[in-house]
Parts: sequence; C-alpha cells; structure tokens
Amino acid sequence: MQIFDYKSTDLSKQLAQEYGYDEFLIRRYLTFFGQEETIQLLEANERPLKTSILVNTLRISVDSLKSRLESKGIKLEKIPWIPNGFWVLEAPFSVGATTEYLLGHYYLQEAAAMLPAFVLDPKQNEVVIDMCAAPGGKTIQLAQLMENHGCILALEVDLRRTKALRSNLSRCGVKNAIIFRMSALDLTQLDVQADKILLDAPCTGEGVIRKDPTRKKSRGPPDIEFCSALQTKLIDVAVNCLKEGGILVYSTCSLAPEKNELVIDYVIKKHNLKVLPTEIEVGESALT
Amino acid sequence: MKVEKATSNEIERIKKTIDQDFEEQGLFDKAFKDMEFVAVRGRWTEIFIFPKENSEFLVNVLKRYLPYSLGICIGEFHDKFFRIGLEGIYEISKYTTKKKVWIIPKAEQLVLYGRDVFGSSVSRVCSYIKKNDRVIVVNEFDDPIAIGKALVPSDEIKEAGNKVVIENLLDRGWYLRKGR
Repeated sequence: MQIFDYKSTDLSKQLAQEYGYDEFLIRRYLTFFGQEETIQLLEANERPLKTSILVNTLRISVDSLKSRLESKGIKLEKIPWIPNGFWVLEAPFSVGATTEYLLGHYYLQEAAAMLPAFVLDPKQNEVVIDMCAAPGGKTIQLAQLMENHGCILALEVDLRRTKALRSNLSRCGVKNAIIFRMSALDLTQLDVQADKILLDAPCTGEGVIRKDPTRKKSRGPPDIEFCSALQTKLIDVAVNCLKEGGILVYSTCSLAPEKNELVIDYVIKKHNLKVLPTEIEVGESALT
Repeated sequence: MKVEKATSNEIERIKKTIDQDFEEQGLFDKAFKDMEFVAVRGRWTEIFIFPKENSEFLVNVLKRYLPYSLGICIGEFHDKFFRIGLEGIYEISKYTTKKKVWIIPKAEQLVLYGRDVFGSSVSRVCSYIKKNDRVIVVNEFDDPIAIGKALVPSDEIKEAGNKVVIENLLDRGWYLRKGR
C-alpha cells in the first residue's frame, strides 16, 4: 500500500517544532486538511481530553444515575450525539472508583468511541461480532442496545486484555456475550455468519494524541504500513463472516487515509459492498 | 479446561444452596428465569448464565472453539459446594429482602475497600439473620455491594456499636483490586 508523504515546507517545519510532532505527520495534515484546519487540529490536540461516561441501561436508568452522581458533586453534561453519554465536567474524586462504577452502572468511554456501536445499531435477535473487543466499552454498548438478547461474539487475542474484557462485561451485567481469546484474523474458525460486525481496528492511534502525546513522534511510515496491511486483512475476514445483507461498521482512532478511506475503498471494490449513510450529526466527511 | 452445559445435579445444588441460604422459596427460579447454566471446568468449576434463547447457537459454537468466558459467572463449585459470587448476588438481590443488611453511606466506601461492617455502620437489618449466615450487604439504594458472614444474629447487629458484626467475604471493590 502506498504511504502518502509530501514535500517539507517552512510551515511544516515550523508547526512540527512548535507542537512537537514528527514533521512527516504535519506535512500530511497540511496536504489533507489545509493550513487553517491543521492548526485547529494541532490546537485541539493540546487541550486535555474530557472524561466521559456511558450510562449502562442494563443496570440503571439515565435519570437515576444522573441524580446519584450529581448528589456526590459530579457535574455532568449530556453528549448531544449519543443517548446515555455524558461528559464529566467536574468530579471531586475519580469517576473510575465510585460505588456506581463498581456496580456497573456506567462505563468510562471516550465520547467518539461511543459512536461505532451506536451506528451499528444491533437488534435483539441478531448475532453480532465484535472483532477487537477489549477492554469492552463497545461490547457493553452493543449488549445494551440488544437488551441482553441475541448473541455477541467478542474476540481479543491478548491475554491481559481478555481478562479486562471479561471483568468489564461481568461488572456491567452483560449476559449475551461469548468471549473468545483468539486473533480476529482466525474468525472464520468459528464458522459463524453474523448479522452485524463491528471492526474497531487496531491502529497507530493518531486520534488519541490528547491521551498519549508520545504518538506525536512515535509512529512513522512503517507503522502506518503495518497497520494498514493488518486492517486490510481484518476487513477481508469480517466480510467473509458477514451474512448476505449484513452490516459491517469499520472504525479506527486514526486520521490516516491509509487506515481509513483506502481500506474502505479496497473492501468495497473487492467485495462489491455498498456504503451506507450513518445519519449521525457529528464529524467530518471522509477524504475523497 | 472444559466448557459444557451444567448438569441437572449441579443446577439442583445451586438452586438448593440459594433458596436455603437466603431462605426465600423460589428465589433461584425468579432470578435465573430463561437462563442456561454453563459449567467451565478447570481447577474448579465456574458456573455461568447465558440467555436460554441462544442455547442452540451456543452449543454449536462451543463445538468449534473453546471460549474464554461467556455470559456472567454467578459462582463456583469447590468440591460439591456451590459458592455464590458477586454477580450471582447481584442477580438474586432484587428478588429478596431477607438476609440483607443495609449500611450507612459513610460505611459504603470502607466496605468496598474490603473492610468488615461495624454495628454502628448498619442502618437497617432484616429479622431473619442467624449467626454465620451468608448475608447481602446493600447500600441505601438497595444495591448489593458485598457478600458477608454474620458474626451475630439480627437482633444483636445494630446494638453492637464499634464491634464487627459482618465479616466481608467478597465486595465489588474486587473489580478494582483484582478484576482488572
């Protein structure tokens, strides 16, 4: 796969130095998004990520949880594009250790990460595969949308992450999931044709720079090439395990077209797939 | 490791343990209605529940690949004895008011840190508790936060002041301490 790179300019050098990025990334941003949007992106990446939670309606209603957390001094703001999602504006203590958290009344999840499962929109009688499931936020969300009916096959290859996945699903009362410790590349071994598949593919994480600023410099062209090749294999496997007429949602935490637009372009051409509108009111259109 | 449907003998023992320990006739049936019981046999046997509506699908998948886990684990068999776990307690708690001890908000975090319950931390107690009974420790919202063992009977619990009345056997703080 081709990795896009562009000529160095005074502006790319200056921005790379000012914001502490590998200049390769800046050169790409300037070409993909233009100067104004690149600076907006770099500025946004300097702002701390707001903590956000997803209410687990398998265990509590939105109103009850909101009232309980607010009585403890936690200030919440509704995330407009996700039912049950809230930003935590203020908390006198860690929201990852409250009684309500331990009871599985909510799950800590980034606001953008709440979108893929919501877009997939699984139904109660469906078989759904979550191909890269750990640590489990999206699987919990799928189970909520399915109201613990139907069946979710949740895959994770890494042992430590599989343990965390089991623990999170258990804490949140997810009853309709089967966890497999296996590489998603081996999914065909299960011989299942799913109604819906969520492939939140592993990637270089350019989209999580606010959480992990080392990614400004730690990922270069070989990493993009490696991830892109892996993602292409994964999406091929996904399509092979999808029922005729089934729906696949592909998501990454990256801005790189080699891991997004080009993967989608490859798979729709190879398998003659149709791209559906998501009908969500957030985000930007893909590069074309 | 072997994963298979729990035997009828195992299910009967779980039912007997739950109904007897919590002295509530039909508690097991109410809490686990429409659930399939699956045994994961390793060094000990863990019992999981999974929606019965998907039994056939589950059985077919199990033939092809061994799962790491499924549904939620409600407890474990050690030898022939069933020991209910945190999620098992969560499932039964909403169907019973017996064998419950309600604690004050101030004591909630202490219990979640693994501490035992003092008499002065108890706001309410049901009247059916005998010494050594398994009890469900709940907060003011009736959420089950721990499984405990009563060290004194019901009528002595609230009078015990700064003495430990409930030994904390397992609390939901486990998810932070060990379950990550």
